[in-house]
Amino acid sequence: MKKFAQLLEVLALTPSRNRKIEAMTQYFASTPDPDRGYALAILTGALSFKNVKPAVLRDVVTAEVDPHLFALSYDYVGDLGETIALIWPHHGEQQDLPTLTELIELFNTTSKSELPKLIASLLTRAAINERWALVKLATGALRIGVNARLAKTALAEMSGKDLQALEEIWHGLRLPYTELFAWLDGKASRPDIDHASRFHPLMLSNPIDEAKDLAVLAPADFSAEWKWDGIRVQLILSAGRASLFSRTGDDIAESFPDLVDNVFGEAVLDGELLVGREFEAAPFNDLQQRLNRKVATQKLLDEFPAFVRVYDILLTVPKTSGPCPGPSGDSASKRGSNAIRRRVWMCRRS
Amino acid sequence: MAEPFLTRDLRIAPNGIYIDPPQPQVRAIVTHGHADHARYGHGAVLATPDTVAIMKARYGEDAAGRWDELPFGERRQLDGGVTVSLHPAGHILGSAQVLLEHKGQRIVVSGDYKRLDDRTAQHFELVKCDLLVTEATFGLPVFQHPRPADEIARLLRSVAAFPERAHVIGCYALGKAQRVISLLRQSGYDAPIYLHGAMIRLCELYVERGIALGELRPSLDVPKAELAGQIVIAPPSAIKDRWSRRLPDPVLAVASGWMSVKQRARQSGVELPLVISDHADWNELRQTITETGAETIWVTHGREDALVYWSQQQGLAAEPLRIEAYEDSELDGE
Repeated sequence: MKKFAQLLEVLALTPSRNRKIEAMTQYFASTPDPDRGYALAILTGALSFKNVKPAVLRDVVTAEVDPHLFALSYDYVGDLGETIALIWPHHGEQQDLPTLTELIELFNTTSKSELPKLIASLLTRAAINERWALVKLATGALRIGVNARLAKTALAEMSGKDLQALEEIWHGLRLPYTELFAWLDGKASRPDIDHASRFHPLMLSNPIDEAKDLAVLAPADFSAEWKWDGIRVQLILSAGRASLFSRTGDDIAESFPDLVDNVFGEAVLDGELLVGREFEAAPFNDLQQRLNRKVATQKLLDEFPAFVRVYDILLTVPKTSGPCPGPSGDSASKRGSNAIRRRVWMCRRS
Repeated sequence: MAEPFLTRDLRIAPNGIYIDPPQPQVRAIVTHGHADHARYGHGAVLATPDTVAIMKARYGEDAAGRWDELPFGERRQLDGGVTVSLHPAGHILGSAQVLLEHKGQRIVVSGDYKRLDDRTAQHFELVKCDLLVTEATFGLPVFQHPRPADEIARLLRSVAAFPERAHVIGCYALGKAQRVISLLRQSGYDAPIYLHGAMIRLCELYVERGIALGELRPSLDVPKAELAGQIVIAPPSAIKDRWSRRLPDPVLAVASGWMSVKQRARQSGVELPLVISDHADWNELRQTITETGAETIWVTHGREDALVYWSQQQGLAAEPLRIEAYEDSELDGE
């Protein structure tokens, strides 16, 4: 935990992107499994706890600190996690905290009623920087200027593997990423994952330099598409599951149940996520109501139904790949295409 | 308690002498040399010999009409039946608490103070009193300063980890700079320490007055490459200025009690925040209030509300003093 706390501090305070990458690279290269896997999960936002929530921490602290003094302090510091870390009034003999793996195990297995006692004892045992890291870990709000992509970049640099090869399999990997690190360390081949979880990096649009490029581009090699005012996505359908990846490789399927619950089949589709009725794209502002939300309310679903305007089929699997889980009497392909038609708009290639 | 003989703008009622007045006055008692306490232009200044030397160095010999040096612990009869004595506050060299006695009533004006060991300042002395006027720079329970030696160890770890970079430490030129240098020496760091021009005068003054600081060199005109792996002390305002571009890929550090809030340090671009403070933290403030035995507490100079609230919880008569010009003018470096 001491080492992870030091890493978090360096990441939070180093403005340089390269130094952040360097710090992560050093950490991953010198930390054993499964600690480094859990650290990776924390840095990429892939870890959350069922019972350990900011409210629990706040309760633990306000049981020990006068609420008025806590309020004045929070007002001054402006960040709940930092306030808790700084205000904790008990300082025990600093013993070694549990390892990251042990800590996560404790957070996951301790019952709701025992949690406050556990958290209080950890806060008392921790040195100042560890307390800060502990609170960050427990509240899940890191705010250290690191996103998933930067962490993956550090992994690629550490191992010399291609970042794209790593991003492709990222969403099929499971905690604590032991298989991933075995591959990165050169001790195993790349983990083989279900293609439904595999993100295929997108071909993004690039401006054309009219002076140079137009002469060498053959019109027959291209088809034109409007620039739709939505966000670029990759919709992956497989084995009754659907993933919806943003262009940075984040799976945003959870926020769009109206879309992913209504499509199935076996395909990887590249397109634009939009909202609107009858495939009439509404302004981007309407789509924005649906973005960056963990849970979509029914009202939002009704008001701004989502659909995908498909640019390209990157991969399909023949219909013979197995029965679709449709009701009997309804042929799999018919139901499948009907379902897909409700939410996916494909243009005919001419 | 009887009505105090000190007014809420820190004027001694029986003789009209002010303590740390922000405006020029006929007579002033000055607790220490920081600019928000020691002003230019008083008719007469009474202070410790170190504080007088610091004021003369910063403002010139004619900064006051008359200088009146009062060594620590000596009692001096003033007019109006008031006796004054100065007692170490532990904040910077020469910093004093002012004890005033009049008709059996004892009032202490703490000035700025800290209770930790510091080789560059006379060690804090606890003075019993009826009314304590205390500072509250770090008067919130989130301010619990770590041990300075641990912070210096973090600095030295970083110096070892980046031998190709210079470490520039933003420090207030009076007090903090000399304290940080002294702490480095205490931890066994004996390489030359480089000084921004604004630091030189006061470091020399400390050395003249018997504070050992080891080998110091001006950073001006030192070739860039020579500063790799070295420590440079500069005013906080300089570290992000053009000036720091002459240093090799500098690690920006600031030594201040304010550095405990990481999100703040981060927003101000400080890569290595060193929580080294010359003020009492929340725990020392409370300890001092309790130990002086004072029944009346006036709180000034900082975050008064929390300390007033806490004192009232303890059954003490407490109130904030809102003294204008006691603003956070030296906030960055304390």
